[in-house]
Amino acid sequence: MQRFLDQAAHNQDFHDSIDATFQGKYCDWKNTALFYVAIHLMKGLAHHRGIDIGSSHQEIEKNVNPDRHGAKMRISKGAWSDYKSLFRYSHAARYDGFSNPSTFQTLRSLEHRECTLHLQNLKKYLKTQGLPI
Amino acid sequence: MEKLEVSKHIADHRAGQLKAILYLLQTNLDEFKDEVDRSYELLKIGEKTPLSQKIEQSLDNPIESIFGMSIAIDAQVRIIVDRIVRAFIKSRANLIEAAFKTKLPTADLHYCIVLKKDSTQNRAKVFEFLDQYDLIDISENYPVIFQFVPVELVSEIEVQEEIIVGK
Repeated sequence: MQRFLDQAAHNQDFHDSIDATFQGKYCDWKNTALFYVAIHLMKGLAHHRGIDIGSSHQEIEKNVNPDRHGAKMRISKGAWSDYKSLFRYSHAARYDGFSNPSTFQTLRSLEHRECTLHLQNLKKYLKTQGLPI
Repeated sequence: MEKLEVSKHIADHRAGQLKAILYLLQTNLDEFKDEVDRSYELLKIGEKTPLSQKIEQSLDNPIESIFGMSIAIDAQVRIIVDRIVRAFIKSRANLIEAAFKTKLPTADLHYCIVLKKDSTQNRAKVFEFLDQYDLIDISENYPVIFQFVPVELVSEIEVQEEIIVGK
Protein backbone atom coordinates (compact mmCIF):
# COMPACT_ATOMS: atom_id res chain seq x y z
CA MET A 1 0.00 0.00 0.00
CA GLN A 2 2.76 2.41 0.97
CA ARG A 3 4.20 2.56 -2.55
CA PHE A 4 0.84 3.79 -3.87
CA LEU A 5 0.60 6.41 -1.14
CA ASP A 6 4.18 7.49 -1.84
CA GLN A 7 3.39 7.85 -5.54
CA ALA A 8 0.27 9.84 -4.71
CA ALA A 9 2.33 12.12 -2.46
CA HIS A 10 4.94 12.49 -5.20
CA ASN A 11 2.28 13.57 -7.70
CA GLN A 12 0.73 15.92 -5.17
CA ASP A 13 4.15 17.51 -4.54
CA PHE A 14 4.65 17.94 -8.27
CA HIS A 15 1.24 19.61 -8.57
CA ASP A 16 1.83 21.88 -5.59
CA SER A 17 5.25 22.91 -6.90
CA ILE A 18 4.05 23.97 -10.33
CA ASP A 19 0.93 25.52 -8.84
CA ALA A 20 3.01 27.66 -6.49
CA THR A 21 5.51 28.63 -9.16
CA PHE A 22 3.14 29.11 -12.09
CA GLN A 23 -0.18 30.38 -10.77
CA GLY A 24 -2.88 30.25 -13.43
CA LYS A 25 -0.60 28.49 -15.91
CA TYR A 26 -0.08 24.89 -17.01
CA CYS A 27 -3.46 23.91 -15.62
CA ASP A 28 -3.66 21.04 -18.11
CA TRP A 29 -0.67 19.46 -16.39
CA LYS A 30 -1.96 20.35 -12.94
CA ASN A 31 -5.31 18.68 -13.60
CA THR A 32 -3.61 15.59 -14.93
CA ALA A 33 -1.34 15.45 -11.88
CA LEU A 34 -4.34 15.71 -9.54
CA PHE A 35 -6.08 12.83 -11.28
CA TYR A 36 -2.95 10.74 -10.87
CA VAL A 37 -2.96 11.55 -7.17
CA ALA A 38 -6.52 10.21 -7.05
CA ILE A 39 -5.78 7.06 -9.01
CA HIS A 40 -2.87 6.10 -6.75
CA LEU A 41 -4.91 6.76 -3.64
CA MET A 42 -7.62 4.51 -5.04
CA LYS A 43 -5.06 1.79 -5.71
CA GLY A 44 -3.76 2.31 -2.18
CA LEU A 45 -7.22 1.71 -0.71
CA ALA A 46 -7.66 -1.41 -2.82
CA HIS A 47 -4.28 -2.75 -1.69
CA HIS A 48 -5.12 -1.85 1.91
CA ARG A 49 -8.23 -4.03 1.57
CA GLY A 50 -6.48 -6.78 -0.35
CA ILE A 51 -8.57 -6.22 -3.48
CA ASP A 52 -7.23 -6.19 -7.02
CA ILE A 53 -8.98 -3.40 -8.93
CA GLY A 54 -6.68 -3.67 -11.94
CA SER A 55 -4.37 -1.04 -13.34
CA SER A 56 -5.97 0.43 -16.47
CA HIS A 57 -8.46 3.30 -16.24
CA GLN A 58 -11.19 1.03 -17.55
CA GLU A 59 -10.49 -1.75 -15.07
CA ILE A 60 -10.41 0.63 -12.13
CA GLU A 61 -13.61 2.31 -13.25
CA LYS A 62 -15.40 -1.00 -13.57
CA ASN A 63 -14.26 -2.07 -10.12
CA VAL A 64 -15.04 1.06 -8.12
CA ASN A 65 -18.14 2.42 -9.88
CA PRO A 66 -21.06 1.95 -7.43
CA ASP A 67 -23.49 1.53 -10.34
CA ARG A 68 -21.56 -1.35 -11.92
CA HIS A 69 -22.64 -4.87 -11.17
CA GLY A 70 -19.71 -7.05 -10.29
CA ALA A 71 -17.56 -4.16 -9.07
CA LYS A 72 -14.99 -5.48 -6.59
CA MET A 73 -14.60 -2.32 -4.52
CA ARG A 74 -17.62 -0.08 -4.81
CA ILE A 75 -17.06 3.38 -3.42
CA SER A 76 -19.80 5.80 -2.36
CA LYS A 77 -21.74 7.67 -5.04
CA GLY A 78 -20.24 10.95 -3.90
CA ALA A 79 -16.70 9.62 -4.00
CA TRP A 80 -17.37 8.11 -7.41
CA SER A 81 -18.61 11.46 -8.69
CA ASP A 82 -15.42 13.12 -7.42
CA TYR A 83 -13.16 10.47 -8.95
CA LYS A 84 -14.98 10.43 -12.29
CA SER A 85 -14.95 14.24 -12.49
CA LEU A 86 -11.18 14.21 -11.98
CA PHE A 87 -10.92 11.64 -14.75
CA ARG A 88 -13.05 13.74 -17.10
CA TYR A 89 -11.11 16.93 -16.46
CA SER A 90 -7.76 15.19 -16.90
CA HIS A 91 -9.09 13.75 -20.14
CA ALA A 92 -10.10 17.24 -21.26
CA ALA A 93 -6.54 18.36 -20.50
CA ARG A 94 -5.28 15.87 -23.08
CA TYR A 95 -8.08 16.53 -25.52
CA ASP A 96 -7.56 19.28 -28.05
CA GLY A 97 -8.76 20.45 -31.42
CA PHE A 98 -11.70 22.71 -30.73
CA SER A 99 -10.23 25.82 -29.15
CA ASN A 100 -7.25 28.12 -29.48
CA PRO A 101 -4.39 27.85 -26.94
CA SER A 102 -5.56 30.79 -24.87
CA THR A 103 -9.13 29.48 -24.57
CA PHE A 104 -7.80 26.00 -23.86
CA GLN A 105 -5.79 27.30 -20.91
CA THR A 106 -8.69 29.36 -19.57
CA LEU A 107 -10.96 26.32 -19.60
CA ARG A 108 -8.31 24.20 -17.89
CA SER A 109 -7.87 26.92 -15.27
CA LEU A 110 -11.60 26.85 -14.45
CA GLU A 111 -11.44 23.08 -14.27
CA HIS A 112 -8.41 23.24 -11.98
CA ARG A 113 -10.61 24.86 -9.34
CA GLU A 114 -13.02 21.93 -9.73
CA CYS A 115 -10.26 19.32 -9.65
CA THR A 116 -8.83 20.74 -6.43
CA LEU A 117 -12.23 20.54 -4.79
CA HIS A 118 -12.96 17.01 -6.04
CA LEU A 119 -9.62 15.72 -4.81
CA GLN A 120 -10.17 17.28 -1.38
CA ASN A 121 -13.55 15.53 -1.16
CA LEU A 122 -12.12 12.24 -2.34
CA LYS A 123 -9.31 12.38 0.22
CA LYS A 124 -11.84 13.00 3.00
CA TYR A 125 -13.79 9.94 1.88
CA LEU A 126 -10.70 7.75 1.64
CA LYS A 127 -9.69 8.75 5.16
CA THR A 128 -13.07 7.59 6.44
CA GLN A 129 -12.39 4.27 4.71
CA GLY A 130 -9.24 3.81 6.77
CA LEU A 131 -6.62 5.00 4.32
CA PRO A 132 -3.78 6.56 6.36
CA ILE A 133 -3.38 9.84 4.50
CA MET B 1 -20.31 -22.77 -8.67
CA GLU B 2 -18.02 -20.58 -10.72
CA LYS B 3 -20.35 -20.95 -13.71
CA LEU B 4 -23.25 -19.80 -11.56
CA GLU B 5 -21.32 -16.72 -10.49
CA VAL B 6 -20.41 -15.91 -14.10
CA SER B 7 -24.06 -16.30 -15.11
CA LYS B 8 -25.12 -14.05 -12.26
CA HIS B 9 -22.51 -11.48 -13.25
CA ILE B 10 -23.75 -11.50 -16.86
CA ALA B 11 -27.37 -11.16 -15.68
CA ASP B 12 -26.44 -8.28 -13.36
CA HIS B 13 -24.48 -6.60 -16.14
CA ARG B 14 -27.47 -6.95 -18.47
CA ALA B 15 -29.77 -5.51 -15.80
CA GLY B 16 -27.43 -2.55 -15.34
CA GLN B 17 -27.36 -1.92 -19.08
CA LEU B 18 -31.15 -2.10 -19.28
CA LYS B 19 -31.48 0.34 -16.43
CA ALA B 20 -29.15 2.81 -18.11
CA ILE B 21 -30.89 2.49 -21.49
CA LEU B 22 -34.31 3.03 -19.91
CA TYR B 23 -33.03 6.13 -18.14
CA LEU B 24 -31.76 7.52 -21.44
CA LEU B 25 -34.98 6.60 -23.25
CA GLN B 26 -37.03 8.44 -20.65
CA THR B 27 -35.48 11.70 -21.80
CA ASN B 28 -36.12 10.88 -25.44
CA LEU B 29 -39.54 9.35 -25.77
CA ASP B 30 -41.37 12.65 -26.06
CA GLU B 31 -39.16 13.82 -28.87
CA PHE B 32 -39.47 10.52 -30.79
CA LYS B 33 -43.22 10.55 -30.32
CA ASP B 34 -43.44 14.06 -31.74
CA GLU B 35 -41.59 12.95 -34.85
CA VAL B 36 -43.75 9.86 -35.31
CA ASP B 37 -46.94 11.91 -34.85
CA ARG B 38 -45.73 14.50 -37.33
CA SER B 39 -44.83 11.81 -39.87
CA TYR B 40 -48.25 10.22 -39.47
CA GLU B 41 -50.14 13.47 -39.93
CA LEU B 42 -48.08 14.56 -42.93
CA LEU B 43 -48.50 11.19 -44.58
CA LYS B 44 -52.28 11.74 -44.54
CA ILE B 45 -51.78 14.63 -46.96
CA GLY B 46 -49.16 12.78 -48.97
CA GLU B 47 -46.04 14.33 -47.46
CA LYS B 48 -43.23 12.02 -46.42
CA THR B 49 -40.85 12.97 -43.67
CA PRO B 50 -37.32 11.47 -43.62
CA LEU B 51 -38.64 8.97 -41.07
CA SER B 52 -41.46 7.88 -43.39
CA GLN B 53 -39.04 7.61 -46.31
CA LYS B 54 -36.69 5.40 -44.34
CA ILE B 55 -39.46 3.09 -43.24
CA GLU B 56 -40.73 2.91 -46.83
CA GLN B 57 -37.24 2.08 -48.15
CA SER B 58 -36.97 -0.73 -45.62
CA LEU B 59 -40.32 -2.14 -46.74
CA ASP B 60 -39.42 -1.91 -50.44
CA ASN B 61 -36.07 -3.57 -50.20
CA PRO B 62 -35.32 -5.07 -46.81
CA ILE B 63 -32.09 -6.81 -47.87
CA GLU B 64 -30.58 -3.72 -49.41
CA SER B 65 -31.82 -1.77 -46.45
CA ILE B 66 -30.05 -4.07 -44.01
CA PHE B 67 -26.90 -4.02 -46.11
CA GLY B 68 -26.97 -0.26 -46.36
CA MET B 69 -27.58 -0.01 -42.66
CA SER B 70 -24.59 -2.16 -41.88
CA ILE B 71 -22.39 0.11 -44.00
CA ALA B 72 -23.71 3.22 -42.34
CA ILE B 73 -24.04 1.75 -38.86
CA ASP B 74 -21.32 3.94 -37.42
CA ALA B 75 -22.95 7.13 -38.62
CA GLN B 76 -26.38 5.91 -37.54
CA VAL B 77 -25.27 5.17 -34.01
CA ARG B 78 -23.72 8.62 -33.77
CA ILE B 79 -26.96 10.20 -34.96
CA ILE B 80 -28.98 8.27 -32.39
CA VAL B 81 -26.59 9.11 -29.58
CA ASP B 82 -26.56 12.75 -30.71
CA ARG B 83 -30.35 12.86 -30.50
CA ILE B 84 -30.29 11.36 -27.03
CA VAL B 85 -27.77 13.97 -25.91
CA ARG B 86 -29.85 16.80 -27.40
CA ALA B 87 -32.97 15.55 -25.64
CA PHE B 88 -31.06 15.42 -22.37
CA ILE B 89 -29.76 18.96 -22.85
CA LYS B 90 -33.29 20.22 -23.52
CA SER B 91 -34.54 18.42 -20.44
CA ARG B 92 -32.04 20.37 -18.37
CA ALA B 93 -33.03 23.79 -19.70
CA ASN B 94 -33.36 24.96 -16.10
CA LEU B 95 -29.57 24.60 -15.73
CA ILE B 96 -28.26 25.17 -19.25
CA GLU B 97 -28.11 28.60 -20.84
CA ALA B 98 -26.79 27.44 -24.23
CA ALA B 99 -25.29 24.37 -25.83
CA PHE B 100 -23.37 23.68 -28.99
CA LYS B 101 -22.21 20.67 -30.94
CA THR B 102 -18.52 21.32 -31.34
CA LYS B 103 -16.93 21.44 -34.76
CA LEU B 104 -14.10 18.94 -34.82
CA PRO B 105 -11.96 17.32 -37.49
CA THR B 106 -13.15 13.98 -36.09
CA ALA B 107 -16.71 12.65 -35.74
CA ASP B 108 -16.51 12.76 -31.95
CA LEU B 109 -19.65 13.53 -29.99
CA HIS B 110 -18.33 16.65 -28.26
CA TYR B 111 -20.61 19.32 -26.82
CA CYS B 112 -19.89 22.72 -25.34
CA ILE B 113 -22.29 23.68 -22.58
CA VAL B 114 -22.87 27.09 -21.00
CA LEU B 115 -24.42 26.80 -17.57
CA LYS B 116 -26.79 29.43 -16.22
CA LYS B 117 -24.80 29.24 -13.01
CA ASP B 118 -21.42 27.54 -13.16
CA SER B 119 -21.05 25.56 -9.96
CA THR B 120 -19.72 22.15 -8.99
CA GLN B 121 -23.28 21.03 -8.20
CA ASN B 122 -24.67 22.11 -11.57
CA ARG B 123 -21.76 20.53 -13.42
CA ALA B 124 -22.48 17.31 -11.52
CA LYS B 125 -26.14 17.42 -12.56
CA VAL B 126 -25.09 17.56 -16.21
CA PHE B 127 -22.47 14.87 -15.70
CA GLU B 128 -25.27 12.60 -14.39
CA PHE B 129 -26.13 11.90 -18.02
CA LEU B 130 -22.61 10.63 -18.70
CA ASP B 131 -22.70 8.54 -15.51
CA GLN B 132 -25.61 6.63 -17.03
CA TYR B 133 -24.40 6.67 -20.62
CA ASP B 134 -20.96 5.37 -19.67
CA LEU B 135 -22.59 2.25 -18.23
CA ILE B 136 -23.65 1.21 -21.72
CA ASP B 137 -21.16 -0.78 -23.79
CA ILE B 138 -21.46 1.50 -26.84
CA SER B 139 -20.02 4.38 -24.84
CA GLU B 140 -16.57 2.88 -25.28
CA ASN B 141 -16.80 3.19 -29.07
CA TYR B 142 -18.93 6.32 -29.11
CA PRO B 143 -17.79 8.43 -26.18
CA VAL B 144 -19.75 11.57 -25.39
CA ILE B 145 -17.79 14.54 -24.07
CA PHE B 146 -19.23 17.59 -22.31
CA GLN B 147 -17.11 20.72 -22.11
CA PHE B 148 -18.34 23.49 -19.85
CA VAL B 149 -17.65 26.90 -21.33
CA PRO B 150 -18.21 30.34 -19.80
CA VAL B 151 -20.49 32.48 -21.95
CA GLU B 152 -17.73 35.00 -22.68
CA LEU B 153 -15.66 32.29 -24.39
CA VAL B 154 -18.37 30.94 -26.67
CA SER B 155 -17.20 33.14 -29.54
CA GLU B 156 -13.77 31.48 -29.28
CA ILE B 157 -15.14 27.96 -29.83
CA GLU B 158 -15.64 26.54 -33.29
CA VAL B 159 -19.19 25.27 -33.28
CA GLN B 160 -20.89 22.99 -35.74
CA GLU B 161 -24.39 23.84 -34.59
CA GLU B 162 -26.18 25.51 -31.73
CA ILE B 163 -28.59 23.25 -29.88
CA ILE B 164 -31.84 25.04 -29.11
CA VAL B 165 -32.21 24.52 -25.38
CA GLY B 166 -35.59 26.15 -24.64
CA LYS B 167 -38.81 25.13 -26.39
